[in-house]
Amino acid sequence: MNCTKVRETIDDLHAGRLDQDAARAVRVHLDGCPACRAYETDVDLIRHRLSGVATPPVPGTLTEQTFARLRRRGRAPLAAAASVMLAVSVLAGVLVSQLTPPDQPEVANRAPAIEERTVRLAVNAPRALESVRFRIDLPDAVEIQGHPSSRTLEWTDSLAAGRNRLDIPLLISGEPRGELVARVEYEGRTRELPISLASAGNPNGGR
Amino acid sequence: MTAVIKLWKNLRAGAAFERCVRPHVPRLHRLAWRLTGSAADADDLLQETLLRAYPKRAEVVDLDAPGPWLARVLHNAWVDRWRRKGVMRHSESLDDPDVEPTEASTSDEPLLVAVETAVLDRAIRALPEHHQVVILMHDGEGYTLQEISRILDVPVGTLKSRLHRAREALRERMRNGTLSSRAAC
Ligand SMILES: [Zn+2]
Repeated sequence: MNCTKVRETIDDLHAGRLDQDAARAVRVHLDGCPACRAYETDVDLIRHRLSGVATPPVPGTLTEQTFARLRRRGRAPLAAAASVMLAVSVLAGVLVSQLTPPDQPEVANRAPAIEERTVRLAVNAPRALESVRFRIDLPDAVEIQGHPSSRTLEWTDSLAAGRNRLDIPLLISGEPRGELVARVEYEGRTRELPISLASAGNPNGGR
Repeated sequence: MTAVIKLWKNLRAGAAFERCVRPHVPRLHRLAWRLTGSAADADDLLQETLLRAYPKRAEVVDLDAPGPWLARVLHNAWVDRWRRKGVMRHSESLDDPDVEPTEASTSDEPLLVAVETAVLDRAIRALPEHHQVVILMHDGEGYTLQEISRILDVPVGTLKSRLHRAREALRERMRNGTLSSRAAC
């Protein structure tokens, strides 16, 4: 084992990453080579000095401000102009259907009436698209199953070429006011789709 | 065929991002400080890192070890910064660092024992970029070579050799007393 090889291996020796034979070979070399022992001492010293240096703490407000900014960014409404651009959207079409479970009671006269409904969005993409932004705003009295506290969902995903399906399983308590709004944005072009949840019918057409 | 858009993964990601990233913030900030050498620049770089990472939050929260992934984002942001400023750092292509053989120094005495931390810090900052980075990450911040390999996208074997060269270069500068010279490497 030559000096360069030994020196390149010293970190592995210190971290116990060498097998017995290799570790012994390095130690034998170090015992007989003052120059490599001097190198080893310097390596320890560099690490000791660097890791021991006092680093400035993260300013108390910096992290909170940054996360707050990210949360605001997640909620930021799209510019009004964006929806005007629907006509030139590369997203060829968005189709919606609402599925009511077959065991949904015909008459719900026990309070509170909570209805399960799945809104199905079909997003057609002319080609595979990366970094497509999705956003769903929920009206009052509507929540995503399993996520009672989320009012707005926003995320980025890719779309496959052709039809992409997004099922949104909802719990609707009472009569929802307003609409669920789904937005799909790609390179500044947006499709926005308000979906009425007012009645349990199927207002937007076929499944 | 209909592709299914992954609502749940992404829904989870928005809330999980903060929880996942928070524990890594102090170390990222230290790394930013080590790279930039300035507390104010470290603050900016950390903030930019989080802003850059956020759109990929679904990916981040699925990682077993997000630390190196975030450090990679930070390092890229840092490199982009000095590129934007048009600063010509010692680039790998100019320096050809990992090909030329490095002489193992023959000094029988440790060279850095009497050196003050501030002087050592200055000497490290005078090293070529890639030498600085590997020393600061490995010896300063304690990232393993495997982690640094993921951060820089450089093979572990190359990094092992690079770290050795960086240390030898540092020792050589100390021996020569050429702390501010960049020609020695
Ligand atoms: Zn030796």
